[in-house]
Amino acid sequence: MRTFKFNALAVLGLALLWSAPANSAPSIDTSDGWYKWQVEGAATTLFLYQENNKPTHIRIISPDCRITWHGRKRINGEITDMGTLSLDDSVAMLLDIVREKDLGKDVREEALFGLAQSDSDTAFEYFDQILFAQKK
Amino acid sequence: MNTTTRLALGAALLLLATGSLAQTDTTDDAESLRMTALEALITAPPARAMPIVDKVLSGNHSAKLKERALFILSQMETPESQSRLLAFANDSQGELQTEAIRMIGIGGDKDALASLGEIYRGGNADVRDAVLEAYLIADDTAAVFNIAANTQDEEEFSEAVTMLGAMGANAELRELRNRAGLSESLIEALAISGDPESINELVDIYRNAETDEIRNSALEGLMIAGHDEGLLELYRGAGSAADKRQILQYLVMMDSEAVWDLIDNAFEGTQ
Repeated sequence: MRTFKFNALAVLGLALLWSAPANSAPSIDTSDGWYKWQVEGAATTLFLYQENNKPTHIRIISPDCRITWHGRKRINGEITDMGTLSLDDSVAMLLDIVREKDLGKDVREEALFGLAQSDSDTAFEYFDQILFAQKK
Repeated sequence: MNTTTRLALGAALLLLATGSLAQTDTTDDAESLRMTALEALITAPPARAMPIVDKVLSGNHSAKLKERALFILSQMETPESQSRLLAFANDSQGELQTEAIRMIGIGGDKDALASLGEIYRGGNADVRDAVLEAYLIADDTAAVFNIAANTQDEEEFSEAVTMLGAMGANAELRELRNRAGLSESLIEALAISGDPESINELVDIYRNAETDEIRNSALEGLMIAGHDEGLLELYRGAGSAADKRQILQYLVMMDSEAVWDLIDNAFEGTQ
């Protein structure tokens, strides 16, 4: 009986391990509005606007940010401060947005620009993947 | 063909059509994502972006994607990126080469711009045009002046001088006039330059012209510059009916209000 319990727990453990996504992105509250967080170890602040539980705009403020603000949604109103997130978590969130085909094209593009500004191997591996994956 | 066969064939064709549409959408999406990813690299640290851009340029990608990669290179402002751009301007062919040359103009790197002189001398007409465009983009009037001043080829001179006119390089045009004398292309360039002093001067060039070519070029220049006052002045001072007719034709071509003044005055007997 004890062996059976041990085996069952081992199988359950493995199943949980497989089902947990690797580098899963931290979640954001479901309320609409702007959220912001500081990227750990970088002078970068990410702003994300969410509507109907979906990200619609991303703004990245960094010392060498070259993105213009003309004609783009302004950061205003109440902003939920999420404190500090690691670079890996920030990259994971942006990657999730780029990969989610149901989201708007603009927010996915903004996420790509955000990834390009990160100094993350994961982000640039993704660029490599997009640009050099075998064309079908 | 019976109904069942026709229905089967119709269904098969529909399936094929929707299948190929879906494939096209996927292909377009993938290419669009590739393009955006490449454009995003403009904000990336050059050390991160450079190997990827390099790989795009040497890989089997569309010309459009490669042209965009050249633009990213031009914006990197590092010695490596400029030297890579220059290598493409030197060694590649066709659209990619001319695009690399233009991108050197957009980047505005002085050393890279200076290297274009040699590419110009060894290039075909497309390459030479692209180099002139690069100089125009970079506003490098000295480089275009050098081409105009040192060529023996009339067509090359004409193209360089026209470019100087488009760049509003009045000092360089005057210098060329002092060195080589007046020519049709130089007169046209003076008109294109939009410099009021040069345009006013066209009136005197017409009056003092020693050949019909120069005289006609001056009239054309006045028309290009839209200087109907100058043409009116020449009309009033014209010595022959033939000259008056020719100047009037230019005023008509310009759709100038001055023509109506002349007609009104003619009726009143004052002209």
